[in-house]
Amino acid sequence: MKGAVDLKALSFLETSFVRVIRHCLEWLPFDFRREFHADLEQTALDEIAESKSHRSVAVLTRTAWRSAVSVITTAVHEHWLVLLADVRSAIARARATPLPTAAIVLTFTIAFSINTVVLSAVDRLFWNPLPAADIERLAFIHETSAGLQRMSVAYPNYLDWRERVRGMDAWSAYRMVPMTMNVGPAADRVSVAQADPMLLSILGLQPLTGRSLIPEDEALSSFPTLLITDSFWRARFGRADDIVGRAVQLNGVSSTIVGVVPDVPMLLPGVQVWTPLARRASSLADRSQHLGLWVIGRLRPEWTPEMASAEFRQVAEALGREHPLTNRGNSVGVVAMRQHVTAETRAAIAVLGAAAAGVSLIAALNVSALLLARWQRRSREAALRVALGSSFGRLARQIATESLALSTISLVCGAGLGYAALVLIRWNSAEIAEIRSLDVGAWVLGASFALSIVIGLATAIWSTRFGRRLDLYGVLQDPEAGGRPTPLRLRSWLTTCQVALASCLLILAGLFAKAYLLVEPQTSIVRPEGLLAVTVQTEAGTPGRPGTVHRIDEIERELGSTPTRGNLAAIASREPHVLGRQIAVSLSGREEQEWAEVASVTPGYLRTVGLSIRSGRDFQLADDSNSRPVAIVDDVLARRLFGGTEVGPRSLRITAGIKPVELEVVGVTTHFNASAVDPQMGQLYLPLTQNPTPDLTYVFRPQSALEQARVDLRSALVKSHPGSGIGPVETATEILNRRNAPRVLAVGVLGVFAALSWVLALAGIYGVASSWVAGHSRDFALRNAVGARPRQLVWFVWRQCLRVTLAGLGAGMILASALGLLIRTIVVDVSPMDLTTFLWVGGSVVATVLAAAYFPARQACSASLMQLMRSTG
Amino acid sequence: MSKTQMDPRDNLPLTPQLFHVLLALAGGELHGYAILKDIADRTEGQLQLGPGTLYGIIKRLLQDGWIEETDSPGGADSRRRYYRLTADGRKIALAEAQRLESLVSSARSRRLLRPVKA
Repeated sequence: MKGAVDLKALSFLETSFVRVIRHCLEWLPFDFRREFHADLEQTALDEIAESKSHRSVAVLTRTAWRSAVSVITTAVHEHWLVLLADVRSAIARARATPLPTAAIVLTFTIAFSINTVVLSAVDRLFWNPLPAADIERLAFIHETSAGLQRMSVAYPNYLDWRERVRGMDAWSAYRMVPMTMNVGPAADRVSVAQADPMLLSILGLQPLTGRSLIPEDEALSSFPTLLITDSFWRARFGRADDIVGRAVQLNGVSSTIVGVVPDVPMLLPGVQVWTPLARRASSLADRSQHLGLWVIGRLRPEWTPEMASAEFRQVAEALGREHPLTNRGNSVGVVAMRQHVTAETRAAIAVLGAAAAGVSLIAALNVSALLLARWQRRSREAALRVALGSSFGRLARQIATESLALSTISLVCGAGLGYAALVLIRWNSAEIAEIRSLDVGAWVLGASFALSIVIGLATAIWSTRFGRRLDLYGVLQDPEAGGRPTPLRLRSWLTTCQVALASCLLILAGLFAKAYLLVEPQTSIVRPEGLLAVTVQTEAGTPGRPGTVHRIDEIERELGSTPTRGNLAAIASREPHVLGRQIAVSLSGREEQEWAEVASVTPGYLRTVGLSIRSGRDFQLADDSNSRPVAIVDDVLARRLFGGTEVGPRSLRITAGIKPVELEVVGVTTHFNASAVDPQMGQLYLPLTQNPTPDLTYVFRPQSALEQARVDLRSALVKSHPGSGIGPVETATEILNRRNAPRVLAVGVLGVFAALSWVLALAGIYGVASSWVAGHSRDFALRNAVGARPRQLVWFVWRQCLRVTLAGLGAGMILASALGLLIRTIVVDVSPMDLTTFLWVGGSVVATVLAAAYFPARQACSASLMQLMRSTG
Repeated sequence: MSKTQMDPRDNLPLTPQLFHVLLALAGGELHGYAILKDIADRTEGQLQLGPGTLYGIIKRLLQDGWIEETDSPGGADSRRRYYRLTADGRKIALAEAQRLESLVSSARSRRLLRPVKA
């Protein structure tokens, strides 16, 4: 009975082992399997049967194990041998056909280099915008009020949140303010982040040298300390080794540099100095003042931004009840940090990513077309091999290996080229901190490698679809056509797709170029040519203190001793025409409110920057702090509030702070597209003497030579504002260029992508035209023989190419229109269906196609019947 | 076949597995399992090839022309494929055997092995 049970168990084991070994046999390469499968299987079964006769589970298991291992080892070894053979074959084929191989490698290289650049940008600007490891838990917190979606935080509210909100395990607040830093006799205007020391650790900022800020630095009794950023350390101090411990004056207060920290351009663009916030807490104690303070919190592990948001709203409602004068109607917005820091770059990244994907797709289509052309040339060999019993899988594997080998070589070249392009972009855009930090990381290389594998395999699979339909009879009958399938038609289709994608990219690049390079610079400053601007900080610059006083009279007096004459005015802003603040405005006696951008300016400012007074008057020197508050509105706001642009006896009420202010409207000026938020938002101007603010920019339109005026203005400013932080005297055009630099870069990169994709598509069209001419050589030779005129033959070839081009162009325009609707938010000044751009791109596409097809057309004109008859025997 | 023009010594030394397969076939035509058995018997179980390894070797020997497939001998299992040495294979096996013999002779001359009794 015991023996019977053992036998049963042995039989069960035997069956199982046989099943396993049969499974292992499937791992062998196809050719090997076809040759030896039956014999190998029989031998393995014999071995197992023989070992079973020993009636020992151990012997049976050992034998089966040995068999299975030997089959798997052989499978690995045989696959390796096949791979080596395929690589050798691919190398031989590449050496035999150097030009098509170079074309494939070049095409892939272009695609991979573009992908390397774009993936680096995605990595830095989207996936890892901050050094913080737990960015998913970080949240950006702001206040909201009726009609204002994002409002900075009042410091007392922040302190209350810290006490009452449970969803955060770390808190920090910061604000960015301009200050004057004196290092020795030189004064610089610097952008300062006043922050809780905790912010540095929340953001994961480790000091490059020295130490970080610590809570003890916040004590008023301690000596003032500050950190500087890496870029400022390099630019201002030449990366001096002895930077830690240096004494500087910040807004007149002696402070010590205690460390250097990396820049955080995605969150704190342009920040050069860090100081503790609490030292300024007394000036922030007014709950009605929202002085540019923002809060960053770290969510507890189990909390989501939505949960925190709900809790914040409850706390805000409670504060509204406790402080109705300042907090009623206010609420809190909680934004995931990644969403906050990538808000401005996300659309650009998406466009660049789509462009890179488009170029990759064009490259893959182009390489497919080139591989198809190879297939066509090898169709006779391939058909014979298939007819003689070679497996299609074997052929497909050979193509895949060839394709992968080429894509791997291209990856190396593309990664190198991409890195070089990145270095070039960084060098060319050194002033853009986000760009300066781009680098090719391991993640980028890994993703590029994966992409090369995917594109290589996709190209191979696509190409082998053609090979599957090979038939010997067709190939032998008409080797040029490659049998039943018509590769030329397929290539034409592929080329149509390329033209569609390339046209779409060209149109998008055109829309961006028109918006950023042509339209917006003209609208950002009314008359930028011949206008100088310089930013000055005359007092401590603490918000809330009526500090900045313009000294136009003194400057004009100083200028009087020079040959420079012109119009001088000032605006309370950091740039010559950025209004900045938004406030609610209503007509006195009415409830309906309008939001408007507001700026304080001196008399003559509007005329100096190029705006005209449509009705009423400009500000006067008499509009000072002792006279009735006055205002000038633009025509957009005037139409909304008054229903017209005539001044009349109007009074406005503005709501800023606790107490509404009544203003008399004395003039209406022309609207000007100054707002980045809403180009159609109305504008309100106040006299600077009645509304002093810390930032002051002088604008000067000289009547004499610009360069001399720049020098004279600077020396006049130094004399009239001794010891103040005076920025560089720039022309408005220079300011525009600086402001536009990231956009110019984006347009440049997109333009390069579009141009490259078009070059690739042109190569495809050229290939199709050449193949078509070669395939119809008999036809052309006959036409030449019977006296066809060259012009007719050229037109004949052009017609074929235009058919492909126009189909692709039409599809590309439809695609571009659809994508144009999606990018409306970032291309605001140009219609997504801009006719001029479409016509320009369409015309350029047709013209270049005709030029590319001209050379094959000339070949058609020279086809000779005699030569053809000699060559075909 | 170009292999016949080669000096057999160019292919030496052979791997032990490969030499044992040639040795098994030197006794006559055999199928795969019989080759395995022969090797295991001759080496008293010290060398036990797996079927995968064996057919990897057979594939290489067929490609190099050292062995060839032959019809099943009368009365043998017709489902199996039989292999035998070609002239080249025999020469190479002989050359390897002579190489090993000379090694053994050297070992004897250095008294590493006992001399063979007459």
